[in-house]
Amino acid sequence: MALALVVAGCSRIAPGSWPGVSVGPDTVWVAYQQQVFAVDKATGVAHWAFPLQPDRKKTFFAAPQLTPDGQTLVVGGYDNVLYGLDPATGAQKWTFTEAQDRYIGPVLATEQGIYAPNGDGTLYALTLQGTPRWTFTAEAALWAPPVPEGETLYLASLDHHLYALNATTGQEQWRVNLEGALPAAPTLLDGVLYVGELATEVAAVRAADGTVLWQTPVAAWVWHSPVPLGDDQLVVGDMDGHVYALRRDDGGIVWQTQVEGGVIGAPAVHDDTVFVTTRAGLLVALNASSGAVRWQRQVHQEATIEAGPVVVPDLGLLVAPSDAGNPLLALDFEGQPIWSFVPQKK
Amino acid sequence: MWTTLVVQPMLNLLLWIYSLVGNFGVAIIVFTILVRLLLAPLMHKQTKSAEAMRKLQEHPKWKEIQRKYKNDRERLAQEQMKLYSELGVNPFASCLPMLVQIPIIFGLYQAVILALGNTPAQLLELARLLYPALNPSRLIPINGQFLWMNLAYPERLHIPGLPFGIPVMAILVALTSYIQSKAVATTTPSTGEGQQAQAMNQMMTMYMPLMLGYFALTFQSGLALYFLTSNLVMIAQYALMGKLSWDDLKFWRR
Repeated sequence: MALALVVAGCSRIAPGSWPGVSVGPDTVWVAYQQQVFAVDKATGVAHWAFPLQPDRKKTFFAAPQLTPDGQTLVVGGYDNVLYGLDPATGAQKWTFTEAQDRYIGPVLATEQGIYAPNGDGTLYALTLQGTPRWTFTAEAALWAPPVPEGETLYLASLDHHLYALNATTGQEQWRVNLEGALPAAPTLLDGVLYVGELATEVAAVRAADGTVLWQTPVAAWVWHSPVPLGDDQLVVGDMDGHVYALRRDDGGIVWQTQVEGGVIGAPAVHDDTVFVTTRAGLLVALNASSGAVRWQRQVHQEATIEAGPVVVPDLGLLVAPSDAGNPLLALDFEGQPIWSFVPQKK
Repeated sequence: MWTTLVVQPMLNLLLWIYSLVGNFGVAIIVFTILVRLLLAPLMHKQTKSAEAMRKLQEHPKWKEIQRKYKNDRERLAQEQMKLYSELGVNPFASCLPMLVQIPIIFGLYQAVILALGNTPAQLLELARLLYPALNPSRLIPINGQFLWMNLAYPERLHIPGLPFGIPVMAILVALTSYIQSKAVATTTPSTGEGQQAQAMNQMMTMYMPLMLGYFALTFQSGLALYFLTSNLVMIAQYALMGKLSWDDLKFWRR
């Protein structure tokens, strides 16, 4: 029995996620496994890594976020610590250590301060220097940053609720139960919050009072925020590889298509093309009007891709495969490689 | 194969119980009692086999071959095996319940981690393994809170004023494992040779509780809850069979 337990202990299921990517004026930041990297946007060469050498006690998957004053890069870790880094050098400026669980999702950084969602179900509001201001606790983990509008923050939780909070005090203004876990932030467009649910639905909620306007069933779990498509549509993908264009006013399906492998990360829209990455390691380009597949590229032979593609207008697309030696690739809008970032191993 | 045959059914059974009782800690307890009930016939067989072994070791023929071949291990083993088959005793029957437990513990360990998945990758894996009949999207996220514990993490009880957390579950697991091992040791005779096997039994009685206590200290408290419930049910089973004597539990007794 002891042997079985030792074997069980050794075969721990990896507590992982997929690379978190964010883009600055000249730099791309990627949080992946034991380090956060600042990568030159034009060349894919690393400027710095934090920590300098991989540290087994630290794990990062949440996309780093630059504060509006450009002075601090904020990233949360699986060690329950929120780090404020110097964006130029990667040097640690401050830490916030009061959270009880991991930081899964990125923070929201505004001029008012930092809002850090945590796996312990608490949204920590901090100053830009990392000093606590207030907290709000939901009934389950928070994996997504709040979305701001004026004095209100809209917060999605795995506890099935969408919350509206006062941004200055953290006071709850309303909540609505959508009967399914909400792993990603809502998308706020013209006073309506659109959100994907693990309960195989996409929902629209009036931001003013939390009234549910519509809920459209889809085939499988939706892991990401709905993405605006044109003036009046949204695009979402589900875990079974269906991609849908929905009308924003009533949730009706405009078109639907299927790609190989599940879609976990949010699609990206550029001109008249919708790009999706899939767990089959593919980057797929769809016609935004019809959903027809224009082309697809096998980005990685072995790795899955859970993170959604990121459009960088003056570069192309950033794609971040999971469990690959190169956690960040830049491709042009035809899917041809521009550069590949490979972290240096010591 | 392992996942499909062991982990997946166990995970879905656990979550089905969870969907009925609404508490993952209670689900683990109910699951453990079910497992113990399923293993009860094996345990009964083990006890009977242990009694047969004890009787065999008091048999004149057994004593005779021990004396006669005490310097010839190979021959002694041959004669012992001959005697086992002559008297219809299976020396390995008492190991069976223990062996059956191994895949259960292994599977439960993975099922608990998967069910309480608190990272996106774990939740993706969970989604893949859930049977559609469970209506999994409504069950997610699983509430891992039970009493003072988060079952997805190692347990510590934090008392105001104390600068450290007390590993209550690890202590209880070690204690009940000791009682349970002692009960097994007193009902299960050694199948090996005399004093050496006896010493081995005593060592197991001391080290197994320490080892399980260490696992309860470092692994998810959901697993510690399984150990504790399992130990308590086994102790109750031994007590019901009249095999538990408080005198035997005194560790200073030889």
